[in-house]
Amino acid sequence: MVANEWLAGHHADDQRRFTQLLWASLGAHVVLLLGLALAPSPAPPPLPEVLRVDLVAGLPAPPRAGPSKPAPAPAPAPVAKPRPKQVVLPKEAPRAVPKKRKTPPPPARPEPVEYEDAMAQLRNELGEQTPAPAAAPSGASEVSDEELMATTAPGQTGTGGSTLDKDTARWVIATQRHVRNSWVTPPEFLNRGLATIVEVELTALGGVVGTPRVVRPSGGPFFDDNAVRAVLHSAPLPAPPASGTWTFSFSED
Amino acid sequence: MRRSARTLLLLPMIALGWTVPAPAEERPIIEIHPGKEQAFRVAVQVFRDDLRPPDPKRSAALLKAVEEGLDYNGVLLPLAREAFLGPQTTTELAGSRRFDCGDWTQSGANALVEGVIDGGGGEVEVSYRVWDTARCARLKRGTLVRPANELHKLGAALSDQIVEAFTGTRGVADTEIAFISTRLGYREVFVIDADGRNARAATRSPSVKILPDWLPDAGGILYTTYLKSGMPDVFVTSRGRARAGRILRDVLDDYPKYRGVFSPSGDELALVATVGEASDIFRVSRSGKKVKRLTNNGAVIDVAPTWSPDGQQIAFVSDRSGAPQIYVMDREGGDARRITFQSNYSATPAWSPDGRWIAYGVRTQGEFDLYLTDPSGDVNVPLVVHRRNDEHPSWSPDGRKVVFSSDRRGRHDLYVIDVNSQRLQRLTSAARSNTTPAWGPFSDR
Repeated sequence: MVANEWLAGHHADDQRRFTQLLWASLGAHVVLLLGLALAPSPAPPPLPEVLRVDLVAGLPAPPRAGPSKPAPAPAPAPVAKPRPKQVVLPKEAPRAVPKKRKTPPPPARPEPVEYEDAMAQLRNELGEQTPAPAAAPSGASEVSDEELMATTAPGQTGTGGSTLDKDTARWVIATQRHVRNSWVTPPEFLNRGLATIVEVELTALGGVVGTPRVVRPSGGPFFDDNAVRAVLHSAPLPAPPASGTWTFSFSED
Repeated sequence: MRRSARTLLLLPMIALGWTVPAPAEERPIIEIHPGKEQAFRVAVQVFRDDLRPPDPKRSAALLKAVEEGLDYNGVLLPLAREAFLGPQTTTELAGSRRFDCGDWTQSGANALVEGVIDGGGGEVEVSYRVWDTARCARLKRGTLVRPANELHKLGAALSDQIVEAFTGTRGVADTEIAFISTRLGYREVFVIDADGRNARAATRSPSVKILPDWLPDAGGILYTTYLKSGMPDVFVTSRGRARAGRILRDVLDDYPKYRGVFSPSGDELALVATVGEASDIFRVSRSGKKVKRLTNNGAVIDVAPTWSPDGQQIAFVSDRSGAPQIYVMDREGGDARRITFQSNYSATPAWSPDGRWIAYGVRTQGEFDLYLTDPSGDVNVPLVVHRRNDEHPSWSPDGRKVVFSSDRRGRHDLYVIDVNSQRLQRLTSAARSNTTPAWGPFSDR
């Protein structure tokens, strides 16, 4: 209302000139924005090595000793690997558009590494033993939570096949070793088939927030307590790829 | 026009890289398997001593007893004092919170024990706290009282409490073992602390005693002795409410009774007696008013009963197959099945407190070894194998250890083996024979 009163007090020529200036300004903005949108991006940073992960095959379980243990089942026929998902790179912070942009050829992207090979390499780097290969469950196009917990290998993610970058795989193995060293397991806790699932809230630096939560008890309360104790005693953990909730499974094999 | 304006507004945002955040990716499950560490580390402070008159050695003696008890139990091991980053001595008992847990975890301690000594009237009283350093939480608190001259047993009892705080099952450093020894000339019932200290006679009379077994409340020991008539009968030696002397006088009074074994509840006994051609097993109420014959196989010998922890089954030795072997039957005497097949002579079964195992002796090449089998007989594993005789196993009440007698040093002595670690410890070293041990139950004396 105030604006209409103000416009009504001006001459018609002034109004026309104002309209022309408005359109000119708008056109200049559009041109600038289109230029920004269509400009080629700066040179991409070196891409991290990407691991293809096939969740159908699980990592081997350590061999069980004892006369009553059944022999491992023969490996079933190989299952077709699901197509790996495209890795989504983290977005960069916005930058000013350079006046002259050179577009260097992107660095040679390494060939995707098979999960088992990468894990073996990582274990070798970390001085750990490479376990023997295990049988893969057949027909596991979709893996339930229970099956996942029972068969998911260290470093594997998701269900039905997914990808896991090398940094995460490295962190998983380092964390396994770190927590295992703090997990005191009196023999009386073993050979009872106990397993517990614990959720741990981690900071970006590996600090443990609060007390880990037992989300699936083993049935042995002292076994569960001891798993929580192991996480707390090993804090801080290696800095995780991302802060937030991580799931730990404690079992004897 | 409005649509055009919205588009114009969105363009800069798209150009500057604004996107809708992607859903969080599924994260891996980090699987943890057991490492090498099998024993918790516990920092035991020197307890503050408020007892009068002051004795500068008292705190140190108690600390030594606690650490020896922990070492005996083997579940939590004492942390070296040089590693302490927290105070060496208890000044005040902390309430429900601590503020120095980080010092203790960095010391490598999983647990911290603090305490104060007090008492009077010839008794020592210890108030203690057991802390979980990782959680910074108090796991257990309590008070223990013992005569002033039993400081070592007080420390052993405290070590058992610490073990219970971390595992849910009390330790056995403060338990006792009954056995038969000839150190007084006759075969007498003796009792020894579980760590081998303080052997003392529980009977003293000029007659042969054999096969001791504890009352479930630890208030007495059942044993067999031979009367003047030459007939064996069952007696109790008591330090509690149980009346000492001959028991079950009116049960099978005219027949030899070779052995009695109380059921876990203490309401019944499995009694071995010879009524017909050979010995059989009977189930008898504690009062002696109810008697049920469980085995009756003519000339077959059925002996050495041991109850399952739930009292529903009995394992025993029978030669019904032509040689002594271990069998399991239900409490009514039915469904008897053989569970040992390893050699032509198996004997002295002992059912573990958790019900998972039966320890027994196997004679091979003329010498006995000890084995474990599960109650179905499907699993059979060696426990003690030695070129000399290892016999008469008996389980500790926590199921972690087995005591047995062995002549590996020429005469029979008592040994304790930790079932998990296989650590072996000799309990007796007297010049005379020490045989047929029976590990006593937990006691809250």
